[in-house]
Amino acid sequence: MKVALVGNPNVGKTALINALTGGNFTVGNFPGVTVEKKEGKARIDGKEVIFVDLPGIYSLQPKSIDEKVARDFLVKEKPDLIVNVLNASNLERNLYLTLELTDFGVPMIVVLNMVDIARNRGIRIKSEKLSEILGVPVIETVASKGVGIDRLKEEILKGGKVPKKLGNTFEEKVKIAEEIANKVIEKLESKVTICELLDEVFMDKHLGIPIFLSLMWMVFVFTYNVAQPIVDLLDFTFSVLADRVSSYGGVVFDLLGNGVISGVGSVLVFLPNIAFLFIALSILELSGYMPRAVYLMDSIMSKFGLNGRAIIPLIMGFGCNVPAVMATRSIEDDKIRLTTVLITPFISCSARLPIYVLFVSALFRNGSAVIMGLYIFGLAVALISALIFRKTLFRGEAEYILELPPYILPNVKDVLLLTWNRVKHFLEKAGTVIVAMAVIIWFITSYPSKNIEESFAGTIGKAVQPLFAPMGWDYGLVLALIMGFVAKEVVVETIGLMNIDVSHLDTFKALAFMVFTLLYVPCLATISAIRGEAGFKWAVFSVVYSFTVAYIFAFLITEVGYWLA
Amino acid sequence: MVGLIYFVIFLVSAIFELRNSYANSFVLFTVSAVFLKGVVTKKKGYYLAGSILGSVFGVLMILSAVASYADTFLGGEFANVSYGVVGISTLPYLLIMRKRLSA
Repeated sequence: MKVALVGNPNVGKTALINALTGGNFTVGNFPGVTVEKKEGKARIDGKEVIFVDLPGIYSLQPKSIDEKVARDFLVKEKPDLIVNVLNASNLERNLYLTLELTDFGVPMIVVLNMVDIARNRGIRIKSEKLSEILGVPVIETVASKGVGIDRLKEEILKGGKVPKKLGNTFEEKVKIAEEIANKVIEKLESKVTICELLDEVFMDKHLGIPIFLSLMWMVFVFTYNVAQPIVDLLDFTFSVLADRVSSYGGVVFDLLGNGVISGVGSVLVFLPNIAFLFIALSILELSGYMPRAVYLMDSIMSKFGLNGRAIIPLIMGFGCNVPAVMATRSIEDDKIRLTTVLITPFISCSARLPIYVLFVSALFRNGSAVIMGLYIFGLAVALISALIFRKTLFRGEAEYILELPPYILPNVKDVLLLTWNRVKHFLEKAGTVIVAMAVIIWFITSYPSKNIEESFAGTIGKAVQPLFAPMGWDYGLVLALIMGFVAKEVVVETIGLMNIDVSHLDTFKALAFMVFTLLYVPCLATISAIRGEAGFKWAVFSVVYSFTVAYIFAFLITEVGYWLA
Repeated sequence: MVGLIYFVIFLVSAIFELRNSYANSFVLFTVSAVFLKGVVTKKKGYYLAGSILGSVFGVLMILSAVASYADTFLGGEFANVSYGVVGISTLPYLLIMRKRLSA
């Protein structure tokens, strides 16, 4: 049995799929497109049910790619049942999509989610009356707390009911949605909610931005300071293991110890930093704070020719640029979408974090501040680039809708699941691309001579090094940059395998190197995502543009360093 | 009265913290400003938000100190304990407020 979960953005579909499947879902893409798809399996009373979480949409008129994907899925895949998830606090607007879904003639169940928040806002929905009007079962839930899930499962097993077709045109459906809302919504005496109290502060015109910056600082302290002992412990373990294995002698043990364990270890030691970053981002996302950040930053973003919708991909980019590029699909305006695609690689993804941590631990006293500075610098370059693109390549105005979901105290299971789904991607890379690169780097650093200067790696590094001579980086660091083209994690891996002691670099050279890795050519996966979203021409443009910008900044930092010295 | 006390606590901590970390100090100044606005406007929301921010920052600074101490066994240096740990003092008040508001 295939069940499609359909609803507006921020109605709690992910929490619902978590509750229904016990977190047993995978994140992939819809065939042929790169819009994220969550698909989960559950066994309800012995019957296997596949849940497909469609992208959050406001209507099925294919204006944005998300809406097209949702529509195509319903038309081509023909699910056995549609579970339409509604935010109980905002029924009228949510009902428009419900009325569009009635056109498909597919059995349906309506889920009124977040009824607790609606009640606190003085809204009670007569669900039986709503069920009578639509002709389908209506279930009240609080998905984040598991309330109403058992009843929903029972109704899913019953297979739902084919809804009455209501309205033909857009205008008719809007009018009917309003009429239904008036009939089923009962207004009670509302009390001031925690959500309203917090919004007044978090979106305060004077304090909102300082609070946002404070929270961002806390994310960095959590990612860097709190995770550090685990990083050091892993580092110690991998180096002991690598020494032990390579001490057995012979090519195979040398490959295993100095190649695979040392190479993969040099990347995996940063797993705690990445996991902690994702935990913090997941908490901000699930708590409902993220859209407030969007709202707060909107007036600033509009000065750079972007709009609020462009901020979500940018914030996601701090985790990984690939889903961030994909997330631009929800931006309706093509010019803003392309601009956002092109600037996203400047947002410092988690794979670049190990590079900063490596240099900062060795050379700087206040590590968190330097790392946060790099993140802000990347964001600034992205925004200035956006302004340039919007003034030259992609001129024009655009409007957008921003919805503020209620605040929710994220439940630990949801945070861990979301973090795991993201960390898994990093681990998969460590098990595939990074192992392969470890073997390649081991080979080119070990042959034809064990002496690195005379190895293939030395030859490649020396051949390209003159290009970076103004920055004073040796051929080892240059080789690390070349390898980083495959995946940014490989930069640290190469540095580790080539035994480069970064603590001997002078501060400005190291800073220039970090800024270069922050800005230069996106990794292969991101380039391929840009090609998918914007086309080959823009992928090439992105590579050339980012390399040029990175080179200019690295050169300037080095020159300023020399000048100050 | 509670808001005023927290405003003073965070303000003093922010000034002392300037010697250790400007960024931590900025957070403490922000929390004190939130409490101050609560005192001026007499709105509960500011006390609630100030308590949330203060508690989260306090917990984070305690975790950071514990991590720094643990790191000394692995060859790292022990960093100064931040004045931000005072943030934890808002936790009981946060729990009381949450109970009152949920009732």
